[in-house]
Amino acid sequence: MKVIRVDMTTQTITEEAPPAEYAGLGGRGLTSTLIDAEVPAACDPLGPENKLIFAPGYLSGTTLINTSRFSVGAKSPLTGGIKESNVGGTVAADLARLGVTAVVVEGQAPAGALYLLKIDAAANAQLIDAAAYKGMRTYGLVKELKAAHGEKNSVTGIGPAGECQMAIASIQTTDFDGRPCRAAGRGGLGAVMGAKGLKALVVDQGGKNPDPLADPEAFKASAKAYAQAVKADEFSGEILPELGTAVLVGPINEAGALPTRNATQGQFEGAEKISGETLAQTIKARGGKTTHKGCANCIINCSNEYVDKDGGYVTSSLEYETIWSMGAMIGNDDLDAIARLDFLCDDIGLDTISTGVAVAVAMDAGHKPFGDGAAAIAMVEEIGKGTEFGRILGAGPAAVGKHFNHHRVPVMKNQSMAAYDPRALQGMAVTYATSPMGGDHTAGWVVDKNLEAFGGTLDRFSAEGQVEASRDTQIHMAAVDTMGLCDFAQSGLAAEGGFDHFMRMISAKLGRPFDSADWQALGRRVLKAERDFNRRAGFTNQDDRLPRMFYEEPLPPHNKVVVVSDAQMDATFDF
Amino acid sequence: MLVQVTLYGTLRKRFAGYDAVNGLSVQLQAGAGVKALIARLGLAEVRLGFISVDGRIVHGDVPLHDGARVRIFQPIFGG
Repeated sequence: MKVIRVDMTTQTITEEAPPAEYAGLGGRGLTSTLIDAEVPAACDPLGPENKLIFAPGYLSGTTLINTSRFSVGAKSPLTGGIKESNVGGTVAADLARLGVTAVVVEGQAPAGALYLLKIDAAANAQLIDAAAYKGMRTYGLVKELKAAHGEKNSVTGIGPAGECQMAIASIQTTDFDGRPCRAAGRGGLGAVMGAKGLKALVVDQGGKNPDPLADPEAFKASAKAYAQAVKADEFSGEILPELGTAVLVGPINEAGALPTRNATQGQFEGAEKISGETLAQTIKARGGKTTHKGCANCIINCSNEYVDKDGGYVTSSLEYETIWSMGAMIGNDDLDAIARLDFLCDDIGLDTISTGVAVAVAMDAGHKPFGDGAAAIAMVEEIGKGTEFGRILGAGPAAVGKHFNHHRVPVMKNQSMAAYDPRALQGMAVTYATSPMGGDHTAGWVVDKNLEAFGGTLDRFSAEGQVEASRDTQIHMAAVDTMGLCDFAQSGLAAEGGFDHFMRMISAKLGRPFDSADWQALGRRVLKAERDFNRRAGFTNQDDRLPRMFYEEPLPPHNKVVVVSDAQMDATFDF
Repeated sequence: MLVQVTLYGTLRKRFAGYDAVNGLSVQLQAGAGVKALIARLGLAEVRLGFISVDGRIVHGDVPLHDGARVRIFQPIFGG
């Protein structure tokens, strides 16, 4: 159990035991409270005062399934506020099994210098000159680093977008197959890593020293029951393994909530061509993989491996959000083009959501026609090459809007929304507007609560009850992200007795009782830290708003606008 | 009357030879509703998400018409 601090200014590494006040925290809970406590809120996100923090979830490295979730935190160069970007792969489990609670990267390397941080099997950290990897894209980087350091290492690093400190740069990490296709995409944390002068984190995968459990037997029993529940659930046990997250394309489109052509429509006529069903059929016909394991400890296998007509690897994993941002959002119904764009974003080190929305804004402004997949590919290549226009795209959708003097820019706190239009799902309006993270769907996904057929009780076109639904879900998700549980393994929480099993596992690690009240308190503590940081960074209630387009432009086919009032938005965080 | 049915998620596996492009053509008595269609498809005991008719989500046993385009989805979870 240790925190590794890396001072990039002096290239010195120190280790410390996690301070007592952070006991029981991992993942987002740890990154956000540390940032709130240690980072000057007014600092330059790309300067030496910012800190880039990597933290496995509190339950990462245990035997509980689907807990290899990794939180990356910093002040965001995209939003100007606090950011936690969450990613799967293996690195969370790798670090946790080495007994590493967090890696805190501080200071800033001298201009032009580039390093990688190696954490070996004994959990010793070392900075190594990485000048040879300068400008390298992530697939090439991983190949070289695995050749140099061994296959049994995970690699978490940046591509050219991160090195160029672009505001939508991602941090990519290797999946179960060792490909850098898992993205901590949101918030431009790749730019922070680039600003630090850190190209990659290389972590030994052979760790056998996870944090001890206070009650291993109790943990084991609950972990077994929890895994059985996830497996027994139809969505996580059958639908996701077969179709992946892309299964969402059909229903969200049918609900009129799939933002299309820069969110000027809520249904895409090409949705059938890019649906999860078509995706799975295409992959199978070409000899690719549908049921595919992307993350350590995963039993859901929602990942896939998309191949071309000759069976050659194109990308992994093609997910709902990317299919939307590079598909419907830019009017593109060509799965091959979407897959290529997904690969390019992973390779260059870009958030697929923000990149697709940046392209959509450019197309909406008349730069290229909607639906032109080849033009989108050329635009993303420009980001990779760092051309003048590529840098504008790489600065995000709002920068593209300013460049073209175009008014329709679907961002919240400067970060693009995700694949659910808030005009057709009013609960998402509250989450997008009020989340400390900016436009973010995982912070409080209330789609199910807005659709009766999925168990919801709210009228999706009405404001009534939406604030409460978003608040409750945001509190819950802050706790989920702290524990390092995969979103989709939450089916175990919903199963009979599942939530209690989860509380027992936390308790079995902590060594003291932990119940639903503690869970609520944990989520609130994390959100309060994030809100506190943002307030000190200059955010006010006026930042908890949506762009005018959502209040003024009715979204076909339902022709609704967001009806949640400013006062209702301001009532979201009542604690 | 004849209605066109498209199935989503893993529902397609229940129908051997399901045509992914055209879906299913189902003959129903005039005036039949969604409930009769679900029964005809043998999905009455299956947990379903929402059902849409001609691109609009419907609630309850709404009547269908000749040529209606029905889409049947499974429950989802996301994030």
